[in-house]
Amino acid sequence: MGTTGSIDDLDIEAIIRGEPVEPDHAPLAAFAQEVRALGDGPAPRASSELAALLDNGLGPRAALRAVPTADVAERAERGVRAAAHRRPPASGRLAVLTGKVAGLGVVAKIGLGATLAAAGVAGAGAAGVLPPAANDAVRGAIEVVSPVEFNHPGTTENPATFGHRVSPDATGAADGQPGVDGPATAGDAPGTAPGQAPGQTGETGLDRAHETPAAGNVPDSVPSTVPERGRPEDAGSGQTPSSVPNTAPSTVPAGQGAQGDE
Amino acid sequence: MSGPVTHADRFDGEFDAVLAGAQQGAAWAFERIFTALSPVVTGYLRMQGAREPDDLSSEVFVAVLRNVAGFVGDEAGFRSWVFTIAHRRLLDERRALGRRPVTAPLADDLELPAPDDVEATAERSLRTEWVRSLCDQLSPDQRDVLLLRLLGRLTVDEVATTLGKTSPAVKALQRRGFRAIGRLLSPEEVSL
Repeated sequence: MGTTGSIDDLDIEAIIRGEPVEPDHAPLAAFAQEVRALGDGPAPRASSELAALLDNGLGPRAALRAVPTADVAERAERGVRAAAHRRPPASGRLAVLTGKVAGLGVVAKIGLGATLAAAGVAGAGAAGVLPPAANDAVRGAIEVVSPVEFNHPGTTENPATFGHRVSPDATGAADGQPGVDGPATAGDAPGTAPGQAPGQTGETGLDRAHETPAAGNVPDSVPSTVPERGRPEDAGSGQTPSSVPNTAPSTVPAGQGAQGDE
Repeated sequence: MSGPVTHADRFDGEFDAVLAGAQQGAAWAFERIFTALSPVVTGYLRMQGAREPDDLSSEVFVAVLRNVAGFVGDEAGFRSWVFTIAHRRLLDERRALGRRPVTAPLADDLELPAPDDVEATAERSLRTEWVRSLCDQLSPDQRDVLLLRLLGRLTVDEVATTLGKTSPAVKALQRRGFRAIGRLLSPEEVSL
């Protein structure tokens, strides 16, 4: 079989280029020609999105938005997916969040990770999506630390009676005193002074400032008016600008392009 | 039999001007790119068993036209870039569908002939079916290489980049692919 037995890379390259080949390879050359001919047909019908591009082109600004050549194929795919779903690219939102997390200290990051992990487990447990044994454990843990009670599997609580059940503590049936009792705390625990929330020691920030590295610069008294924060561009000037903006800037700072769909 | 189709043929030697226009967002340039390359891209997708080759081809060219502003290179590089996008789209479709390439009859997928072009369309359909039946006998990797080389006109290195393989591996695949086709062709005559 001359068609297959003696073919080598040089013969193959000649066939691919459409150059004359030995008679033994003529069937392969014919096959190659037929494959190339598949590209000679009419253009296929265009989708509506493509037809709009072909009819109208792209605006100069969108067309000139350069994309690094190395990852153009990847960006092309992401861009089409993003446009198809008609929402801003997740990369922008993720970039903001990633930047914020990256700015945290090591301890904060560890704490954030632990908190997120715990929240994820608790959330999954509350939603009942963990395995049954884990669900029960998480549900029990959540109920211990919060007044929320879950509808346990198998109960027949009627949604129509929601809110009709009142705890014995509130009715006074438990201790003879109507009303829900507050949490009992030790007398020497922080925040036990009247009017203080747990965690507060009664000291002011000025008092605590003496315990910080800024102790040498602590003022003798608190100013009569609280200084107001200013715009981001005033940071580092030593001034106390007049007001904090409560809306995003109306113009995008120089150097940042408009975010598109791609 | 007509001579081999070269890269310059698709754009009539005007690729640089077409690329510049496309990078400005000009509709006429988009049309030239689509007209020049969509038949080969669609043919590639069809031979690879894409479920809806025309629709998938549209997706490819939307991606191409929306990102052409970032392309830097010559016509050969542009062709390679387009086929890279097409191949990845094909893989995405396969993953989404969760199955191997379609081997269903081409009848559902063939273009409707123009009233005065029935004979040419029918002949093209028969040729397409013939090529498809041979390509279906190849392994997926062999089919990828042969189609990208023959239809996409990509070099060995460009095929290697598109498929994520080494150039020696591509050469080995094309060698085995051609030999497999040769064995299939040997017991029958080729009629054109």
